[in-house]
Amino acid sequence: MLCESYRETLNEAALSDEQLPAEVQAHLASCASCRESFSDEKALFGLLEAEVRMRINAEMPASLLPRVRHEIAALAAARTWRVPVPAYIASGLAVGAIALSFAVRTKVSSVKPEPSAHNISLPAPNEPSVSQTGEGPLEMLVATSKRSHKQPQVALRAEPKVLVSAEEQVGLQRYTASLRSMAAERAANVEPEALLEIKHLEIAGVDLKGLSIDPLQSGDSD
Amino acid sequence: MCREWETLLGENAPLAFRVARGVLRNDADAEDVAQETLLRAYQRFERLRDRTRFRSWLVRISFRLALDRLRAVKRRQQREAQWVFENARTESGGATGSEFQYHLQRALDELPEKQRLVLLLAAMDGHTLEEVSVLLGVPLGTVKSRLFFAKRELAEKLRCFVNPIEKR
Repeated sequence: MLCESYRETLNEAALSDEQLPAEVQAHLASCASCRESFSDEKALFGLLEAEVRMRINAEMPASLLPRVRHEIAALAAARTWRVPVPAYIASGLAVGAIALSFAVRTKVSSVKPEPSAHNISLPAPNEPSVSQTGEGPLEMLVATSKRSHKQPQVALRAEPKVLVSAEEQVGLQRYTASLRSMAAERAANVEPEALLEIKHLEIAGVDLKGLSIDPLQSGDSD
Repeated sequence: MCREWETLLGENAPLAFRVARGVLRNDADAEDVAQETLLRAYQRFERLRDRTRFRSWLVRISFRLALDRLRAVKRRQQREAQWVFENARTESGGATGSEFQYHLQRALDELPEKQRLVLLLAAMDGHTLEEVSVLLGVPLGTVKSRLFFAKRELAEKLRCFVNPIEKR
């Protein structure tokens, strides 16, 4: 056991392995207990250092570098194929826009055309027009007929091209043919009289009473 | 980057491994940690402005990852305790008892991280205290004081296990 007055100095000296002051050296020479304790302390620190050195100075395994190189090569390969997130978003938006435009076109083509100018009878050339200001039925008729000329084009353009296999196309053709034949059969079965039964507009007789107009008397005028 | 990286990898892979080995005291775990350290260093290499700080940077990554691994290992306390005793017998080569090894490991684990890192780096072959100071970017006096307190802490905890061993 170290003497109390030298304990701190001897402990620090054992720890740092520094040269002891002359006074402490003289004490060690005269005190067997301190000499033994100091020796134990030095042995303890030596052992600790040896243990820590043994732990940390181990040889690196030969497999480490090849493993790291392999992983780095794999990383580099993965990086080549990696697509950044914004690219995913952009492509998703593009696909969405295409799908949306496709859906809108399909809807437009499925809308039935309005009663067109074909159903409106043109006025006779000698009939006076109601208005010449551009608001009259003639202008409307021209505008409608212009629009009606475009309609088939719209319908044609809006017809979607669907990728269908050859087998499915044959099936579809058969199906449409059967539908057409069914429609033709139904049209043939309808009685023509039923179609022609149109009643004319009848106007009931109006009882108009004769108006009696009395002549103005003098002094009644305003 | 490739050539520079390859040079740095060859020079510093042992450092990454040894730091991890000092914390984990197990070759297999240390190798895994060293591999992860080097991969992380590779991935972030472009961000390192001062390439002369590469070693210091690597030491910190390795030390941090090794501590994380150690904490994960500690969760499996039962397995860990058994492994320590078995491993200590094989590592010590009969020079010291397994009990001492076990308590040394516990004492090392309980050291503050800064002191532990200085202790490990100072014990590494070829590292002077000046080099440790440069490596960690702290003054030499700080390195010395951390080393002193680390050793004193270890000695306090292990003194009672040394004398019985020597008497055997």
